[in-house]
Amino acid sequence: MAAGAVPGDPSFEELFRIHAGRLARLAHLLGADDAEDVVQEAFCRFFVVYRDGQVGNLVAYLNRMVVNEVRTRQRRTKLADRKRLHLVAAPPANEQIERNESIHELVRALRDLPPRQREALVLRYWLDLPLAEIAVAMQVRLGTAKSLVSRGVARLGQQLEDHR
Amino acid sequence: MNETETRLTDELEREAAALEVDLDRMWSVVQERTKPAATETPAARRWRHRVTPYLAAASVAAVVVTVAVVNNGDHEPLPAGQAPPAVTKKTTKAPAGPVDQPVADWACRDRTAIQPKPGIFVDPRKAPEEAVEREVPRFHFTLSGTTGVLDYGDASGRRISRTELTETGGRWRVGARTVCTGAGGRPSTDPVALGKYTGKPLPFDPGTAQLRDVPATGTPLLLDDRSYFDSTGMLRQTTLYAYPAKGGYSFARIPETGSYDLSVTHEDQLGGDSALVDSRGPDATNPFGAHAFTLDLIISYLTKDADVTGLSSISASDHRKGPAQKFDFPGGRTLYTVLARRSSTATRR
Repeated sequence: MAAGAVPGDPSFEELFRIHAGRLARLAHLLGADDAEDVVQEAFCRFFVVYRDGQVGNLVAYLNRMVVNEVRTRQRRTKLADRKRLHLVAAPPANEQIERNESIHELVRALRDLPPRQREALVLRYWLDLPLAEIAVAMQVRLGTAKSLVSRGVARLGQQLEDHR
Repeated sequence: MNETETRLTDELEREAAALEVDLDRMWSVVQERTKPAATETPAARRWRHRVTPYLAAASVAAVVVTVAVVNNGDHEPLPAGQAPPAVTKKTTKAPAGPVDQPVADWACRDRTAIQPKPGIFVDPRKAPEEAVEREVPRFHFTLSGTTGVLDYGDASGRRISRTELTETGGRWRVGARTVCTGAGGRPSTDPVALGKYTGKPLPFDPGTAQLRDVPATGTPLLLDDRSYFDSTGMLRQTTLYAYPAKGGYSFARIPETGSYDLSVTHEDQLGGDSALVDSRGPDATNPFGAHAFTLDLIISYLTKDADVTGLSSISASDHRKGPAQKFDFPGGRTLYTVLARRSSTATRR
């Protein structure tokens, strides 16, 4: 039990065991390259506020921390990529084709969406969060969350049509 | 659910299930990184919590001074006599939360009263979530019987807001708040006309969420920059840009306030920005969110060849005319803007 934890609350380790797997998958679906690392970082930060008993809705808070952490890393990566050009070794063509085929069509299309639309769709259709909780996790207004979900679905639907 | 939604749900589920997560390894890492904090005694923890902001500020000041001195000598920016620090993958910085200390008299002359949504409670045993989220430097509860007040203070310890509290069934209900505001009840301490910005505007940031969703296709145009008080009484700054985007133009407010507009206004169409700041709705962490503190409404019109002469706004209550401006916009176009002033509901105390 972590020092400072509120009596009657689940222990920090219990919280970790209950939520870490789900949060790692959330980070993965949001496009994190290092989903486990994201969750470790989130829990280390979470520990500070948890210890001081400052959090009301633990699950919503953890969701938001993971969403934020993924965003931060993606922003950093994007900035770093702008500053330098890489020469990378491409996998053999047949290997690349096999890899692409293993990715489901819609999930692949999801990766091409603007980051906020992608976040909204993952929170809605994988975590099954209501719009109000999506808004909290993404730190946007309810109307914005609703708009992001509907635009994202419309765009994916369009891409499905285009592939037919 | 339509076909797209059903398929998306299934595919997300399969994609997520395919990821193998090593919980034991992750837990070892987390345990190792949180170990020093977890073994603290409660008293030591409280002391450190109180001094963390000062220690952090002192550390930053020390680093800034050291780097400045070394840079003046045309050396590498490293403290003299020290080896370069080892590269670490990441560090976890403890957030510098608000400190519980008595708050002195008001920091501002102009104040206004705002009301929370009903049914919001605070726990006087800990820092209010709102204060943590908005990085209010200081808070203090003063309770007496079944009534009390919650004061927020600025970095120098002077009061920036006072919230009335009432005990109901063992819980403290949040009541009316008196909060610092601008002169005459306006949100800005230094209201300026659009285009006549002062001070140091916040830079246009292509990394914001809005700019990632609606990217700029050309040079942004600075429209406005001003300060305002948020619902906790904290003084903040906001800068407004208009920027060319695919299909027209958009407004970008820096820093983002938690919500933004995804729409693009087309050429030769009337557009605008509600300039709503502090816009997150009331919830447990933000009881006074979406209060009446909005900046002015901005109406805009982008055109290449039309000559706009009649774009104006006059307040029905005090007949004041909002200032209108004309900007050269990328692509040989002209952006016309007009400021529709909002009437004040604030009271000076």
